[in-house]
Amino acid sequence: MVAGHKIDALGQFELHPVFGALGESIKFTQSELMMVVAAVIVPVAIYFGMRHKAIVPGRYQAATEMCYEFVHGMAIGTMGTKGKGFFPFIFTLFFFILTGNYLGLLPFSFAFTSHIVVTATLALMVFFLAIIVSLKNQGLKFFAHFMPAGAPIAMAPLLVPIEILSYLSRPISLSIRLFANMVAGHVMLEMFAGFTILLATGLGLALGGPLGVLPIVLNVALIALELLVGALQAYVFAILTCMYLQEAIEH
Amino acid sequence: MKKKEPDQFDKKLRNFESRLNVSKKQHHLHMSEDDNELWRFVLRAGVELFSAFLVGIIIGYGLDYWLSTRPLFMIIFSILGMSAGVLNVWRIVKPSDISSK
Repeated sequence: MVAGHKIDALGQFELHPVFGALGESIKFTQSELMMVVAAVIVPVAIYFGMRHKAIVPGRYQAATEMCYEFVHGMAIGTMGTKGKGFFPFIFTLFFFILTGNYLGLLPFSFAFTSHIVVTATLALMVFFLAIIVSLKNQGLKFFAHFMPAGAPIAMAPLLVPIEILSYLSRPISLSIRLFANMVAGHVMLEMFAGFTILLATGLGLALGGPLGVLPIVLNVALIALELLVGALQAYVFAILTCMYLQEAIEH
Repeated sequence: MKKKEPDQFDKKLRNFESRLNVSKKQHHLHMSEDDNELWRFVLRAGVELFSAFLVGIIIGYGLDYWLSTRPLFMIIFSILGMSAGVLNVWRIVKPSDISSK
């Protein structure tokens, strides 16, 4: 992806149709392919993890149970027992994003969470779900939340638009956070990988070769950072969803 | 005999979990360095500020496009958006003993 002596850091986010002519006609790109892979990996992994249903779990089953209990603890801890019905949604969301983030780190793969259209769709789904749930639970009283309690009525024309804008900014901040983190990580990886080739071609193999090892070392550290960021962003997305749903359920 | 077995198992499990939690907590303390926390907080606050501002700009632009009054609503809503961004950040940093809801 290094064209001449330039680093094309954003070229990796381009979409290309897969599966030849069929993929071309239905616009099936590597992004969608990775989404399908992520959607298949999670249930298959859980199925094989829980196949034996042992009372004393083996390593694989214990890992599966820990994943389940981690998300369960987070969802119930934030939403309370009333939010139990949303646990499958949170679980799916968390592991879909997490798998997407981690799939993107594999060679020849693609991180579908690095496209804002994907993250914005997920965030809008959460946003509309929260609105529907709060309308169902609170009825028209939901709209009373846009007027802060205790503020004078005369301030309403100023306060209500600010509150509404603050509410509307939720899906945007949710989607931008995930998307920006993934893009930044992948651009950095590409940059440092590009430095190696630039050093090797620019300074010659004798001098640039040994120097080119340095960016590779940095890249190894960056991969570790990306593993952390991928899990963290999936966690943040899930916990913010829990908080929004908790607000929708409680008040 | 049948009743005894799960009891012992439970006891063992609890014993194991208490040991596990100690090591888990120590690990957690080690992990949460102040530097990392600050960096994460700055990123989060920045995104909150920016996204509210963006919503304001988009709504203002939409209203202007509809009523062809550019740039009146864009100015109004960008200011409102900035205020909403500050409100968002305030909601994050707000001390828990203040309950403005």
